[in-house]
Amino acid sequence: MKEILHVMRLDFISASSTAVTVTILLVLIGIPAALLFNPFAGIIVLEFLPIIVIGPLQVFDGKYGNRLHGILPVHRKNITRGRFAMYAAFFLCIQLLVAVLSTVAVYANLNELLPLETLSALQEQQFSFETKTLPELIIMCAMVSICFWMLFSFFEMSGQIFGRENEMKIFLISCIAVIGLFVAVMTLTNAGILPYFEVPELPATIPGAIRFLVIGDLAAILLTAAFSEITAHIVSKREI
Amino acid sequence: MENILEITGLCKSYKDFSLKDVSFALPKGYIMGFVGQNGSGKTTTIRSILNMAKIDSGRISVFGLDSIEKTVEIKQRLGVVFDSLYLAEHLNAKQIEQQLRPFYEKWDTEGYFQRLKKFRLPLDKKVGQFSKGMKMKLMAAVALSHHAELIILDEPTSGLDPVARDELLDILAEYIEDENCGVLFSTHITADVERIADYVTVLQEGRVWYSGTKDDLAEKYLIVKGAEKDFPASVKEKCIGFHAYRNGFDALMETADRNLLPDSIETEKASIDEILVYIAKEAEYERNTACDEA
Repeated sequence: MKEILHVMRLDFISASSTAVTVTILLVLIGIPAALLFNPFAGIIVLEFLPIIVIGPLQVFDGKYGNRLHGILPVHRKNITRGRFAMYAAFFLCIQLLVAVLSTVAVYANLNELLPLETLSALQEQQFSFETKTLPELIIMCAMVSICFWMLFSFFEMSGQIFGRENEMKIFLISCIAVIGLFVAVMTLTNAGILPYFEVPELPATIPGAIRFLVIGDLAAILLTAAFSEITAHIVSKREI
Repeated sequence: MENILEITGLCKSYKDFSLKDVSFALPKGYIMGFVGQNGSGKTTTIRSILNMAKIDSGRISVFGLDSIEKTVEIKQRLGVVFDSLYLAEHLNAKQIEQQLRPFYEKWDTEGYFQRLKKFRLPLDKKVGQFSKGMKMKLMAAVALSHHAELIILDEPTSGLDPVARDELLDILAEYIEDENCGVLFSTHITADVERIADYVTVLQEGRVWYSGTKDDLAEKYLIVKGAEKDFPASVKEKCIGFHAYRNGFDALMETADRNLLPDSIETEKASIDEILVYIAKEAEYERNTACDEA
């Protein structure tokens, strides 16, 4: 566990030094957007933070990271586990941040601070800041965050196993596969071969939404752990 | 004499190259120069010691520990300097210290910053902007800052100017004053080996051609020169890298065979550089002979 934490710290220091400016910018845009306009817009902006901070690590790996990992007194598998653990920690922190922002946005009605009538009207047209929307906001926050998190973890796994240079290919193939699957399911459903999938009713209360968030996060953590172990198992046997 | 590093029967194959039965040992308190042509297997051997390459067979023991099973324990006590920087180039020396400190039980922060000051390395400048010599010294500072008992350097002086080379070699000479430590450095700049090494291992095409003290190597071989007609054919077979030219010949021979030489043949001491050249010539001759026979 200590080794994993050390690796997370190593990666964080590597990543943070290049991302400070962009992070500040995104936070300055994302937080006001969430509080004053549309919390969902704020969520989307802030979800780009992991891309900016974590993305460059993949570049660093190729330039110097592999040899550094070969020299450091740390088990090879824990290097991989540390990387995935950092992704998980990052996305969980973002989730917490946007959940807090959403709550503040709903209860504080900060959109009323907007100086111009047109701006307030615009905000109200897009999203009504009623307290009943808070569970929806929390659920949307969880779903967006978990989607990004799973995408990142999947591409980290495929990048480490198949090579960073193949990530774009894998991304395109994955997109095609998902679209293909979606079209196939829709076609088969319309043809009556597959039953209609009924979207389950989402919780309408705050405790229900928090339960949804916790269950979603636990599932994401398990999936991340699976990606991590598969990657660690394959990559740790390779030469540096 | 206790060995800090022992390699026995190391074999490692790639598609177009292989290490064959590499064996040598580095006693504690000494510096070993690891020399050979480009592509002779020096870096592959070093990567095998660091468990960065998976060996096919053989055994590598560092501090008496198996290099595969105890790799983490070994790396706690091992410092490494490569020919190019392995640290994050967009970070400065202070940030590098923050990154590396938690990994080492014996990390000495004060010692690290003292070395940076001694080596005249700036704290706030990105290490990617350092000159090559500064990068080498930074890696040396990192290697020395966790009380490493063995330092392995892979062609650390290649590309350095004479002043930077001299400074790096001084660092190693000062480090080895502690007789509990050891240094293994690979190089094709044999002048560095002649200057500070106590032991030498010569690799040729993936095999150990010689491993022992530098003085013994110097005493073991000599260069012979003269007119080819004066050179007995029976003695010619004992030559290494025999090279005939219009006015005569030159070759490398073992000093033990000196008494077989006629008086007209000149002899002189062989430097490590010259030994490498002659063994390379011999290898080429053997390859050409094998091709002709095939």
